[in-house]
Amino acid sequence: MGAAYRRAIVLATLATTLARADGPPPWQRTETRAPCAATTLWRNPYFGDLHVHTRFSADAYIFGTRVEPREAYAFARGGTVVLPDENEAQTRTARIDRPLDFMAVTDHSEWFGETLLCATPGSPVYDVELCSLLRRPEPDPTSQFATTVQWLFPAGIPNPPPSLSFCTLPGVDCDAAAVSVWREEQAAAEEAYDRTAACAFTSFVGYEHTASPLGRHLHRNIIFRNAVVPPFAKSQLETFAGGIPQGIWSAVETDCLNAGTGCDAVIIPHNSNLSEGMQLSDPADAAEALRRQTLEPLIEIHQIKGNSECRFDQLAGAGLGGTDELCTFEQDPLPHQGPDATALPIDKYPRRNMVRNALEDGLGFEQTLGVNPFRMGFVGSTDTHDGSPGNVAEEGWTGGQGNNDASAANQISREIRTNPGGLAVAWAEENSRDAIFTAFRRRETYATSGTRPVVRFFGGDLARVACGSASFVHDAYASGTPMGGELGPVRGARSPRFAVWAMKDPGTAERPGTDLQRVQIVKGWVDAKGKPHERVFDVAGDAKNGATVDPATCTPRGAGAAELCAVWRDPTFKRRERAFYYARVLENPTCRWSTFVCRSAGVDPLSPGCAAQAAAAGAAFSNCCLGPANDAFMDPVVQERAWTSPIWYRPEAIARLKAWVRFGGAPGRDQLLLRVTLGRLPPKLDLRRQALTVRVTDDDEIWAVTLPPKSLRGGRPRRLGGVRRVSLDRGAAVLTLRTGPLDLSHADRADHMVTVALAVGTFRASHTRLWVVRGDRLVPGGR
Amino acid sequence: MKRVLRAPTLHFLVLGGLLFLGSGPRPASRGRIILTADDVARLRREWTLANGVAPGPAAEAALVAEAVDDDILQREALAAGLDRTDGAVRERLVRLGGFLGEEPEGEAALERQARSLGLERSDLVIRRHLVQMMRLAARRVPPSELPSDAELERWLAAHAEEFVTPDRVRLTQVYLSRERRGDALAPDAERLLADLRRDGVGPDAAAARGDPFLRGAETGPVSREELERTFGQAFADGSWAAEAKRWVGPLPSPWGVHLVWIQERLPATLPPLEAVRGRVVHRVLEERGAELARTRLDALRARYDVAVERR
Repeated sequence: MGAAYRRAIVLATLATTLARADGPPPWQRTETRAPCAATTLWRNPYFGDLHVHTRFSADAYIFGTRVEPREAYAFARGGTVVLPDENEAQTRTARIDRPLDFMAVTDHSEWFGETLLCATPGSPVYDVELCSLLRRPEPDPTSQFATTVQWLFPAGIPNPPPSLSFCTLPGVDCDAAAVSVWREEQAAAEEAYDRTAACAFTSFVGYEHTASPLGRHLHRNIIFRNAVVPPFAKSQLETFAGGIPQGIWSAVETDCLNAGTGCDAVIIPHNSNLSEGMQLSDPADAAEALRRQTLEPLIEIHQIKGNSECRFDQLAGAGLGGTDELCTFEQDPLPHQGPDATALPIDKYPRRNMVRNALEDGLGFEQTLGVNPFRMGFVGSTDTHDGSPGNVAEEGWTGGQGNNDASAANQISREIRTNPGGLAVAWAEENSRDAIFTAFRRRETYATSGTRPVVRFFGGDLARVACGSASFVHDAYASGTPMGGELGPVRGARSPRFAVWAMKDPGTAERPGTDLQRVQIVKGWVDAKGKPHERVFDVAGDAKNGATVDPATCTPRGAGAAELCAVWRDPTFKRRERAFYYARVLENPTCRWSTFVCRSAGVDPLSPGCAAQAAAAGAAFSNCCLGPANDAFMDPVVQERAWTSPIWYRPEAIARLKAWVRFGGAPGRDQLLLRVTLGRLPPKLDLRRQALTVRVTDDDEIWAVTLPPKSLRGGRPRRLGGVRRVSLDRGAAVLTLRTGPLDLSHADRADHMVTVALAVGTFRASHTRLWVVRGDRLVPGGR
Repeated sequence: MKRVLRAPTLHFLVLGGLLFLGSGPRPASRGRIILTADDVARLRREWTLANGVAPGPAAEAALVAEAVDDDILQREALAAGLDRTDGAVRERLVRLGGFLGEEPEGEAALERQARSLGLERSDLVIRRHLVQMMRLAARRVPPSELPSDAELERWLAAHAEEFVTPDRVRLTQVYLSRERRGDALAPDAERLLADLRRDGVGPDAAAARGDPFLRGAETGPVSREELERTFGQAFADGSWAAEAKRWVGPLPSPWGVHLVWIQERLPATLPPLEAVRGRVVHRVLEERGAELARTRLDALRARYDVAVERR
């Protein structure tokens, strides 16, 4: 345990008179701040939004948005923002229905400087044509679209975008202006961040890197762990030459991860649904697959511009690689947003636009390359261009794209396919940057379509885990992995157990939360021939509970569940088949946002008279009558939902771990035993040529060793890392390692999470469990 | 791709900062500034475009004042010779000199040519650059006036309402699940509450007598608002005002009912300076810079006669 953390714990204990036996969280504190008064080893769900645009995004500015980053953060904490109306006059307001716990402003860093210069009266370029275009109110969608294209794609869509022409004028410094915007983004995040012990709100510094070749969305948000960030928010303009996405990967590695400054970041892709399959592209080789797995631990699967989980066409009665009818949810009909975009039949629709299919393909890559490039956990967010993070309530939604959806007529006629967007939920020990960021890293996150149900999901042996057990969470962390982790064949040829526990969104005083309908486990796998499969299992609740909405009032009718829980085994489990499992929690049906808007315009999507009412209300409202009878995806009634990050089953991952840290009576007298049983040896493992690295960590490195090639042959290495004996039983795939006396004082003598990780070449295996104190030993706490 | 980072024009800021120190005697007046009716109409037009509505009287007055200040700042910059030291201005003059038809040799000659036409005064881009730099310089807080810790403490105390951590509670609750107990929920809760009170059961032992709660039995410290967000309004109403260290309830939530033990109440406190130092320094410097700019501009304005024509 680091001295700094120990001090922090002491301070926290003093500050709250709260005596805790729990050990440290599995992360290091990288910033100066007061320790949180409320912190728990068992983690809390924190709700946030990681995708938010303000006036510094050129497109948002063109749409009439004038909200500053500071105001967006204030909105997330309960404040009000001013929004443009149809004519871009600042006449509307919005207020969040309940505050968020964390948030990041992620403006497009392309045109940071240009947007600032054009928006600043008195700047040298204020009067140039492009600047006037940016500022000019444009109620007409066609001319507004032309302006957006002129700004965002000045060199023609497929070409590398240079900086805007006026940046080369003498006396104009677009880069300096870009830096001042980037500093303003940082200052706004800093001002919003609660560094006191109350830990009421966490901000992250971030930005969006926006690569759009031919209108294919290869967009990514970069979220930084703390206030140490690169001096320049490199955009697609700077990284173009490096390729997509390798250019931005290199920039993040060079300017942040490997810069030696303490900078840390994750990259979160989004809108794969509009990428024509290009965002989740094939890896060149195992090294690149590992690079993606490391840099991109999460993907945003739900937001304003649609859902990216999975797809089902209700008119065709067919899905994208499956038959899951719930995948009609919030789909964009188009496969990308290029000028050539047309709706495609489901069998022509690009498979990897949807994350479930991409995850299946990731298993296939792991089969052939040995590494899964798509080991992505899930988050949702809004992608609001109104500076209104977390503004996700369906009823009374104020839109999210400036004047494009500022009026009821515009919302329905032009933006009927959009939705209020989702939320990102992180299971973290406390509400601080280090805690939440580390949850992103280990993918202990889930996405929601905007509501706030709470869901836990574990996989593992879980022998003692039972619904209704008071020690459910303790036992689950002791004998399994939470969402986002990996499993070996923990029960031999039998299926691991999966435990899921969900409770409904409490809602607000004005809008109570909706009951839960059911919990499902979604399984994806590849067979021996590498063919992808998927299946959805209902594991709790009742699909036929009869709940619906009252067509007269749009209020939910019929009962569901306040809580649902299940411990489940996979009846189709095969020890040799790699697979992923994630939980999907469905609420009872509620009215979609558009249903509320249509009804207030006198058109009732739930009424048989809809068409006649729409004809009377005007052409703008004809979309009100889209539904299962006449549209592939639309439904005036929706089921809000949550998706947990998957748990990956890997036949070669760590199946069992016998281990202990024995604390000696004196300094330098501690000892470590590790007996790691892999499900099987990875096929490409070559310990004659490759080194094996073993690491044991909590918030600190407890112990690590790199055994050079061939050192496992004789069983007696050259005293590396204090290792006394090491052996590999190739038949049983068991690595046994025992040290002589050494200093393991970094291991805390308290119950806490400990990770054992193996690395050989591009092979990785990792095992995190609750370890507990038993006498003079620290041991994994479950079977 | 040529989009390299350039250092901000620091030299200008330093020079500008010196400018405003006002050392030495200055002429009482530098002349007369006239804003014509056309100028005012243009300002109004631009503002309307940017904001979607016409400026009110206050907004218009601010626009006019800003335009006058721009004029003053440009003149002051030229009087101090900043156009001769600023790289961006000189680069611009060289470029403009090249557009004039004849092709004199060398950058110095091009710049001279541009100056011979008075472009350092009339070119709009140069004017805006000079004004922008002057405005930045006017806000500059000299090292001698950086706030001390004592000043920061005083400022924090004076702005306590912005930084205060609100009242909070830490509580333990015993949960009874509606799913699990159905119709027995209310009687079970009453009976358990009576048991806990009668037997003097403390919070640590009590949780096991209810149903397991997904988020755990302990909560907080949390504010009233966070409490309501987590458990719903009825729970927050019922527990917020409850007496500490005794069982209260049953309090309803969306999932069932709860018996609540308030462990402690933490009254609103002002966090220590260390925990909010970054925000405080930022705010103090902002205030101080704005104050300095105000004083410095006032001093400059006093040197000019200003006339604004209106139709």
